[in-house]
Amino acid sequence: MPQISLAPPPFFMEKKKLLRLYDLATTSPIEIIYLGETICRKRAPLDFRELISLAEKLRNIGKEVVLSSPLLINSEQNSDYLEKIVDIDDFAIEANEMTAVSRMITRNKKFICGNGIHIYNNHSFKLMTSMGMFRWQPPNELDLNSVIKISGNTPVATEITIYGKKILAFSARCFSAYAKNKNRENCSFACKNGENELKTLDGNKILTTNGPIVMPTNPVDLTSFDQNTENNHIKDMEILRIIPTETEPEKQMEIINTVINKLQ
Amino acid sequence: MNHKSVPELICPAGSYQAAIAATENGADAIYMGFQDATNARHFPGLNMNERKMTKAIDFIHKHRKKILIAINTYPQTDNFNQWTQTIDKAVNAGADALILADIALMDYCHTKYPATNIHISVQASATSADTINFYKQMFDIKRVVLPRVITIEEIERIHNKTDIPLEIFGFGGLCVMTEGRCFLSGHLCGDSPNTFGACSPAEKVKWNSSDKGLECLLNSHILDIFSENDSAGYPTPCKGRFLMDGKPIYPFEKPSTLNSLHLIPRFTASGVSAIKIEGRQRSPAYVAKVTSVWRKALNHFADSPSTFNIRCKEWNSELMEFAEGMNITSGCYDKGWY
Repeated sequence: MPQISLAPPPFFMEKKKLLRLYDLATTSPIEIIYLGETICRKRAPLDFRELISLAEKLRNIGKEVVLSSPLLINSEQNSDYLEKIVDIDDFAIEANEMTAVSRMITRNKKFICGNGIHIYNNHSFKLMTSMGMFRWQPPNELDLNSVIKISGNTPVATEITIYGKKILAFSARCFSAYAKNKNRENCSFACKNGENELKTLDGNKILTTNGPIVMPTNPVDLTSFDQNTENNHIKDMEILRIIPTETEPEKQMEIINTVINKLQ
Repeated sequence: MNHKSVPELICPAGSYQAAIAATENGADAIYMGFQDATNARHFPGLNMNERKMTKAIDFIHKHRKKILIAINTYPQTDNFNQWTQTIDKAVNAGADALILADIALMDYCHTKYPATNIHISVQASATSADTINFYKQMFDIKRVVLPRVITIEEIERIHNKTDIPLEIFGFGGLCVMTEGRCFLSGHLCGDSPNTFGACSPAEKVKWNSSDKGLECLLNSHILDIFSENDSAGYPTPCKGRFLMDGKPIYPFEKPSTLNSLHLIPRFTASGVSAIKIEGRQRSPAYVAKVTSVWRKALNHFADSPSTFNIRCKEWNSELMEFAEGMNITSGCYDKGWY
């Protein structure tokens, strides 16, 4: 049975609820927890000290903790935060873009390539492995057959998303703020109000946004591929990732437990 | 005559005629691609075969301009050789630089052709000095094209921390999302810009006249309905109109065109080395006009910076005819935009 991992919430989550979610996770079968606000530094619910103390707490009860790097480095603030986490030796780093990869390589540290790293073929996979990648998540658009061709029989662990909304795109523009005729500077945390669901002009659900990211309307759910051949591939993966979809911690844990039960 | 004190002007050519138009109207360098998925403008009837490419390169080199060949999509394990063969073709044809995004292709090019200049494509989503310096150290890259999610302040910060020349987009189609990491088109129609080389590929786009107006569809999803008075833009998902809480809005960006001509002085002061005009899918007439206006503006700024602002309005009005939806934006270079 592959290990189960939990991704950071891709939407705004209040500090209290976020801590409650991780509290509930301590007694769940989740083995790997990715921590950190990856989308927008401005809304980060935990400051750096709080983040590290949460990471230590989760590690002390036996969870593997990974610190996730920001999706996009396009400000001093993001860059400084990244600098802080890559300097930490106690936890692994998930590199979500190339600045994080390059800083880990400079420090001679091994790293996890998040799905934002462009690994589309086994040549770039091998190159990245030679530079220190010890785990990877394929780009969100690759199917499992392509994934297997890329990573084949290597000691590098493959992690795929089994449940959740995989990010389809992101911008420098905050779409939650833009919808309220505001911008990133004066956003009033428009993302707090949850996802903005988009329908086509003829009324079909098509996409959803929160902050600067765009997601599909429905979460991917690979547990429902019961009779599908893809299911065999899923069991071959080392790690199966769940992306939070709910801001209510109890509700979120119910979903996590349902996903895990289906897998067993 | 072109000036060294201002950024180079990099112009698109999706055809031999466009390459001539760019060359004759003042481009310092012309970027092109082959007729397949190895570059990010994989549209029918666009780009050049080897024969046309050689002819275009011949013409451009005779005029002492440079040729940049885009091989800026991501090969997959099964078709990797097609991309390396394209690198071989481009080098043999005499390209002055290759625009690459995949690190394995950079590795291939750097190992096999160490004298060939590598430019990092916008599709590689390089947004920091550390990333750029990493590529320099690994593959001896000579330039980077920055994604359209970088502010002028950031460009300045990056410039202060790297000696690699920076190229930015100045005019044309505006990618709203971080380039190279946008899966919207792929999600909605199945073909990914990163591997297939086209956002909203022509064969997946349909125009349908209905009583509501002109519907444009991407793989059966309605992306917008234009009335007679609207000027319809090319239907990419990020310029689509959707219902939010029942109201039709453009949640990402209106159909619009990037124009940052008035920022030439800022770009120059921030250390920008080259400004790129988007539009390999556009006509030779577009290439000729946009190239000539930008050439005029750059030359004017070099000769007479104090009167640059006064002339901007006139140049911008010349560019208006090419604005999608008749909307102009400075995108991320404008503080209020993001």
